[in-house]
Amino acid sequence: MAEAAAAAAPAAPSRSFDARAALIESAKVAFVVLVLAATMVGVEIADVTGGHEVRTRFGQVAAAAGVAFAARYVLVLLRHGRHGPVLVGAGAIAALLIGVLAVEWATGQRTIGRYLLPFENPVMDWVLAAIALFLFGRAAQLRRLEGRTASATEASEARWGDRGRWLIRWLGPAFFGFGLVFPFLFFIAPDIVDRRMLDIAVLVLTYIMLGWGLNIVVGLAGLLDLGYVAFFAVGAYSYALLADNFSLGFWICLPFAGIMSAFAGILLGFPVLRLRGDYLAIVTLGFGEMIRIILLNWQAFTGGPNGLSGIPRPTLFGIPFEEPDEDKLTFHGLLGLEFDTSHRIVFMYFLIFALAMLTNAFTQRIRRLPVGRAWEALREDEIASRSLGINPTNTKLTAFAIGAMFAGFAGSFAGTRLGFIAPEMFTFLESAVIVAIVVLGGFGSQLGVVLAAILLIGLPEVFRELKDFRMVAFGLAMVGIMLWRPSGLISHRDPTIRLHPAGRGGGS
Amino acid sequence: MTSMLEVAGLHTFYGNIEALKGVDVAVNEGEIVTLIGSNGAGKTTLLNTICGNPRVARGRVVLFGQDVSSRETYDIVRLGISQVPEGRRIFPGMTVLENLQLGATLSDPAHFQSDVDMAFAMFPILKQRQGQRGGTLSGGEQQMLAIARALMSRPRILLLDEPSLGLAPMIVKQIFAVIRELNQARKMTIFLVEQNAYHALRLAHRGYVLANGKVVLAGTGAELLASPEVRKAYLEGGA
Ligand SMILES: Nc1ncnc2c1ncn2[C@@H]1O[C@H](COP(=O)(O)OP(=O)(O)OP(=O)(O)O)[C@@H](O)[C@H]1O
Ligand SMILES: [Mg+2]
Repeated sequence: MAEAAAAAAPAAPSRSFDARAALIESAKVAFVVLVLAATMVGVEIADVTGGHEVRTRFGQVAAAAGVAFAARYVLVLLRHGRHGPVLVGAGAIAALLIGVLAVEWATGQRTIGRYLLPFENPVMDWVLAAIALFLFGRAAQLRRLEGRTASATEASEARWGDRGRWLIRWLGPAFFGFGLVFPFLFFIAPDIVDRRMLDIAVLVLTYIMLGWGLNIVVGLAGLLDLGYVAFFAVGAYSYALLADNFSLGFWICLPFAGIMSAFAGILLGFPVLRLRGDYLAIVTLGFGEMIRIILLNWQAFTGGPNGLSGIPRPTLFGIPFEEPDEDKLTFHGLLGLEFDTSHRIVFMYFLIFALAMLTNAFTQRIRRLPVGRAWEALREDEIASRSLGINPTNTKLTAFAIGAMFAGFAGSFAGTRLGFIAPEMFTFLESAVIVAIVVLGGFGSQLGVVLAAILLIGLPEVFRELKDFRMVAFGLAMVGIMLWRPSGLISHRDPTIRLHPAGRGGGS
Repeated sequence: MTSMLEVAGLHTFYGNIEALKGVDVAVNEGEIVTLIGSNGAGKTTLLNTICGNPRVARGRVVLFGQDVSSRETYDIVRLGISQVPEGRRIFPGMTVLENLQLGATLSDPAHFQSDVDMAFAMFPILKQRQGQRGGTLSGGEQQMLAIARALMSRPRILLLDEPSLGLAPMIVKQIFAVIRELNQARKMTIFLVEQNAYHALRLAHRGYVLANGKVVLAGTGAELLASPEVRKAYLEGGA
């Protein structure tokens, strides 16, 4: 990670290369890696018959420090404009590693890789290859830029800006189209999109919806809410309890769950919206935990730690997705299909897809309405907003309530999808993940939320086989985004009002 | 002449620092009234107190005949007062046009088009820059935008806090011409805070001098320009 930090930093003005200083710098980095790695991977507790056994892996720790040392040294070289040797060296190593790994992966046999690669783990092998490749790419990039004048570089960057905007404009519809056809891939190409992929997609969409909902509060109104999961919980429990106590169906409960969550949002918002920044964040965090603890302890009403189960599944216009039955109309009976539970998952997919799109459409629309404009104005400058006639308390309350409402919808969905809810599903970690999605997406960017949700939720699920490395990758992805895109994946903000008609032709 | 704004015996505190110590000021319909004073005299505090933030500690602020001393800012501005605040405070992440749109928060959307046209006619550079983010405008452009934004609500009285601060002489001239034009052609009442005492007093019908949270001198623009105290404290070396 330290390597990446240095790479992202602008080239130092001084080009003279001091080997001693470079060695010292690399040694420092290697030392940090050594200490961290020694504590984290140096000791392993293994299960052996009859108990545990402590094993050491100091060889790997040393290897990690060595790699860090070399990589840092190369970065120092790059910083001082010595691209040539790096280009050749890193290129050769990258080619060798990738070649060997590819062959070994294809044949499924470990051959010379055993001697080349110090880590006894395929993921780490690939990480090593990726580092070499990255250094090679960086050297190539610097070499290409070297001859250019500043203005040529600027012009090329401006071109990239245009291309970036073009990409952003088309990426949204592209994602939408892909989202629409995705579940059909399940029927057409079941070996690419299997049930698990479908489940993951539903999960990602849930987080996209939550991200979009929180985006209203954090991205648009600029209120850092660290307890957003509380509204998700209120929605889920509202549905479960309404369904349980009054035998109501999903579609009737959905609006109620939204209203209950919005109400909770107002209830929380009213006393705390005078607070700003960090203070608001802390109070909302506390509120999130409070809701969870209430759910945990109010045994008679919420079922306490056992949660609530048997939450009814949603129906399609009253037609359930159940096993065909003589006297009951079911989806499969109606269409004469063979019963298959995966059809219900496809239905769930479209349900959350529609809910998420509703959230998105709503947000896009409200940004252009006075209340949405007021949210953004308050985020940018509260005092100026007030002196233009914006009532800050009411405006913030609406943001809180509307954001909470969408969390409530998502909560009902989550309840109905799993058929079971418990307080442990609504911990602070969930809030943190949703905030991370919004922040990494680039405060306020709808598309950024989609990308961040795929990156933070989808990829770790897809790579579940990586086990512990999953969370390492999660962390790496976050650090990477912070380094390369400090203002989020998509920091572009779309103006809510286009060129003034009378102003055409006079453009800048 | 009817009084549009009347400040009587006004005291304002920041914690236990008394920034205004009994200020009396009146602005009548159709007037340009200027307020001069050295740094830290309390000029900005006076404008902000009129707009409800900070709150009035003692005394009264009467706007269009209504006592607004204990009202909220967003409520006070509804009456038809608008402020170009110290430091401009335009929305940096929003485009010029969006800033104008927010300025029109309180006005009828049907006016929007014609009001924007009017703003662009007043400051043609803003028309060219309409899609640019406020934060990337030059200082002078930001000041013009702040004035244009304040006018979008069609105020009956406009408060300006040092509109010439940090601007090139050419632009200062332009801004002062706009202020005169607003007053003469649009009959707008103006309360102007300025460091640029010479220009301000020449422009204004009447003026006040504030020192240490108190009004120490008052009179017509010409009287104040001629007064030895003003010449000594605010015009020497300047102008
Ligand atoms: N938010 C605040 N908290 C504490 N003291 C303040 C605050 N704002 C202003 N003051 C103090 O009140 C006094 C008057 O400040 P004010 O900003 O009104 O001066 P000013 O006349 O506008 O000066 P300038 O010409 O420099 O803008 C100053 O002594 C200042 O330090
Ligand atoms: Mg001031």
